[in-house]
Amino acid sequence: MRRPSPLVYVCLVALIAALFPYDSGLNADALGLAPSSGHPLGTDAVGRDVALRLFGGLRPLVFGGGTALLVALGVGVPLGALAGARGGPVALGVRGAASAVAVIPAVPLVLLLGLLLGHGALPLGLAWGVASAPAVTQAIYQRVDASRRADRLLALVAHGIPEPVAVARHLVWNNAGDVLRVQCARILATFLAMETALSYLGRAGVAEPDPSWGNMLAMAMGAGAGRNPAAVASPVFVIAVVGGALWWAALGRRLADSGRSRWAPQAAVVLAANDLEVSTAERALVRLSSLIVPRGTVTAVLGASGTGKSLLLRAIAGILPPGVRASGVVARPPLAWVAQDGRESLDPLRTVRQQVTADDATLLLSGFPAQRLDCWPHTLSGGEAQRAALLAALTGSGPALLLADEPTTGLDPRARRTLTAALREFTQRPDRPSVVFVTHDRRLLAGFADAVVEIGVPGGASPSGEPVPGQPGGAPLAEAAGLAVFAGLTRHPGRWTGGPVVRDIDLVVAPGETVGIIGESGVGKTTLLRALAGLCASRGALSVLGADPRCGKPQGVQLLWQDPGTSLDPAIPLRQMLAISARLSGERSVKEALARVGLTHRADALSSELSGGERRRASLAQVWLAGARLVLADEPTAALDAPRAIEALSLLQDLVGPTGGIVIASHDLALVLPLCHRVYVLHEGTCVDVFSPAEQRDPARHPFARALVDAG
Amino acid sequence: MRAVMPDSRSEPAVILRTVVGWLLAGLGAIVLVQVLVALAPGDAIDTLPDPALRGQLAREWRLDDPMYLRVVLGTLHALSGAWGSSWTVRPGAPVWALVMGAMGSSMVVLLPAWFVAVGVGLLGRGRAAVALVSALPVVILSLGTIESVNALVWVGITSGWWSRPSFFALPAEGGLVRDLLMIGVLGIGSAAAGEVAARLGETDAALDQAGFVLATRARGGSVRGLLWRHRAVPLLEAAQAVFAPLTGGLVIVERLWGRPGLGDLLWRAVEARDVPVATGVIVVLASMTVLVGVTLDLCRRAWDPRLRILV
Repeated sequence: MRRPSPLVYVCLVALIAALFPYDSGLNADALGLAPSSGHPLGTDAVGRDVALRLFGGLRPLVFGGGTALLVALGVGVPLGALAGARGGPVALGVRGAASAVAVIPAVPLVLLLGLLLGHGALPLGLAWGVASAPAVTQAIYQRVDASRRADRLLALVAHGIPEPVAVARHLVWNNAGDVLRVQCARILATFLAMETALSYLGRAGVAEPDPSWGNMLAMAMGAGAGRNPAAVASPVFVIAVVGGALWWAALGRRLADSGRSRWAPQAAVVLAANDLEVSTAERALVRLSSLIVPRGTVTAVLGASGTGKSLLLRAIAGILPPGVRASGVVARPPLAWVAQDGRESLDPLRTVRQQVTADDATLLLSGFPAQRLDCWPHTLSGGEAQRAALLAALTGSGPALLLADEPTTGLDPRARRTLTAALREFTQRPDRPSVVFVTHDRRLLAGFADAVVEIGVPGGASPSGEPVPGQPGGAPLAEAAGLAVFAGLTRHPGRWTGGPVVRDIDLVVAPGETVGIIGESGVGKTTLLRALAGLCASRGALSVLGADPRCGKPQGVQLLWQDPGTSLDPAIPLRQMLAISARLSGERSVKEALARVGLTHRADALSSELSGGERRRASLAQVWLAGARLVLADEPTAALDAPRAIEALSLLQDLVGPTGGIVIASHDLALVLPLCHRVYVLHEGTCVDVFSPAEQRDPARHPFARALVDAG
Repeated sequence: MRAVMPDSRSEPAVILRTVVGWLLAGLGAIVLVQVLVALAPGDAIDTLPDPALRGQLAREWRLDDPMYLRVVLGTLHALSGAWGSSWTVRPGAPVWALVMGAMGSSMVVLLPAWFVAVGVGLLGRGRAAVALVSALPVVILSLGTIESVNALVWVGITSGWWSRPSFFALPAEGGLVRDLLMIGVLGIGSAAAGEVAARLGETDAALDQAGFVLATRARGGSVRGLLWRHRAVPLLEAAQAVFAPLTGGLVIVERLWGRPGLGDLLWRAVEARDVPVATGVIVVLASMTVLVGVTLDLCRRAWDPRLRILV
């Protein structure tokens, strides 16, 4: 059970005290008495009981602080959410207004507002709420804006969740809850400090005879005050305790986190491991009896999704997540590790050139375009980032062992071959370095891997057989003519300056058809899919399910995201997330969806606890539950092992039924092409060829298309 | 592909946009102050005993004009530096001279307190003695509510626990110890140090699992330089975020310790309803916040390429 925040205790005590009967009567016979049984903390200079006034002093915090909270959250949360979700001019306007208030220091602003509102706890609370609202606005804006930039808002809207609900429930309530808690504690803490200070100084605060810890201090220290040290010490004590609890609630957790975020001593690089085990305190995650990596060799690590391949690599590198430990590893530096997402392995504050010291020959071999060397990592496409990350790992003093996690998932077949050749070349260096890489793609093994290590297969649904193309027919589900697509979002039409990413696209998807979109990394496949979903700005004729998606998301269109985590809310368990998707169609059950994708045993896991393959299956379950006549699938087999990839494609076909359609953008041509009735080949920003892979009489004709198909 | 684009505008245009944005925020703040002042019921000028001075100030401040006109004229006056004369704090004295005279005294406390806040915040996230040092700002915060510190000193002296040392100044006197105490209480007790420590702590926690840090560690390389490069932006953000609360806290510490300065002047101006002086002080404090904001914004932008994308 979660421990309640100190804030909860403070609120409870304060609420009780606010309802406590309080007598402010003066007693001329008991001036400045020392503590006794009748007056546990003595009396003040006019004979009032100090203990009773201490309780009464909580009232300004309850009523004034409560008012400040209501005003600050009531104004700041909606404005911050609006600015974060919409971006652009709306964000500029809201943040500008917040900045105008924020540049006036809070205490002077409260003093000025005091001229208007008068004095006392409630006016002070109102003024403090106004002064605190900009900070709440900025905090909520930053959190929601980060989600929007990570495409999570787009994913929720594309899934069919209305935008206001997606923003309020998923981005603010689920993912900014910690921000709100911190802001609440901070507002109350600063209100307490400011109210007691102003009441002590006798301006704009709570005036006698109403009790406040500040004016209690002032009276106890004032001229003619009795000599009762408890009258001074007790307000100081309660201010320290209550203020400390509130500050701890606001900052303490973050400070404590900073204390935990320290690295444990790192293990050295492994060349040999016996009885290797990676485990948490509760259970073993990976077990391997032996791993021997000779010099100058390439070792592949295979295994189904969720079996711990990535963890194995991190155990060898000595960079396990907190709470996970490894035993049986014999390691030796230097080594290099490349994350599954290439961007993660690159320092975002330095250009590619600053991180890569490769010579021209190595560059040529890796296939990384030399003209992109001066780009920042966040501007690279997925495939470019993967190649750049590998180059960065291979440069410098040169590692003895390269650990690469799925190094080819974002690459087209040609780029994949180029990169594997570069890695093979790397192992031929004079110092004979080695490569250990994780992959799902068994086709990579031939002629590349010298050894293969396969780790355990967990339980789950088995593949239901090879998918086959359905029987097309009827009015088109999607139709585009002369379509030009821009990288900007539809709802920000002013932002798509510059030329289109792809242009002159003529595309048709008939009921029962599966259509493929192939091309090099970064050519615009994802952007085209987003345009079909109505998310990206475009020009030209476009009709999806009989409507123009630019005028509103058509019912029955679902987008399967390249990064499956994008569409999953990180703050709620999988079961809850799927229940939201199930409500969109109301036809299918969460239990059945979990069973179909083999995730029944992971129903209560958060998305961060799922492996890459499990997240992909979870996103498939989302799409299946939401119901769809047309699915736009962006790399649906990435990060899946071959059986699961086949299963995923089967599930996709099953989900749309015989009258639905699928558009697949993929690099995995061997798996995807046999499914497709028609394949569109994108090259240099346009469609250069359309062919039917299943029919010999209509093969790929364009040289680039032929090269791509042959490589795949 | 992500749905954001590199900023296509030139760097000078973006810098201009940042500066203009902050200047507009400053302008908004001045207008807001004028509106609040105009809305406040009654005019303190009516309490002046000298009818000639009353008439002169009423004409100077157009007190008989409609509210919107007073707001516009007040804003123009504030922007042009024609801040007029004080009404009640020191009747007839030029506001500009009063405010500028007080600013030097406040800077002696404010700027060191800012550095103390950032410095203690940096210490709070250090690797050595993390548990102790990280908790320090919170402990001090709980004890450091400003009047509590004052009260403890008072209790100590009046109870005879210790005699007043010769170097410890009473509010009416000056003194190095008093100034140092003010700097410490303002820098730490205003939560600024805790805020800096907390922000850097969050950054460290995020960097802890960042792929590029893990990759560097896996290579056996040192991540010290890498971490400091990535801490620079949150450090600048924190320094920017705590500046305005520090200027607000200045009002209370100067009043509490009886030190003349902008905060003390503002307090007296509000008590005496001296609108020109109160406006002048707030404009100066807001301008300092704007200046700090612009400078640190441009520094962050120059440092972090990820900030050079469209919102």
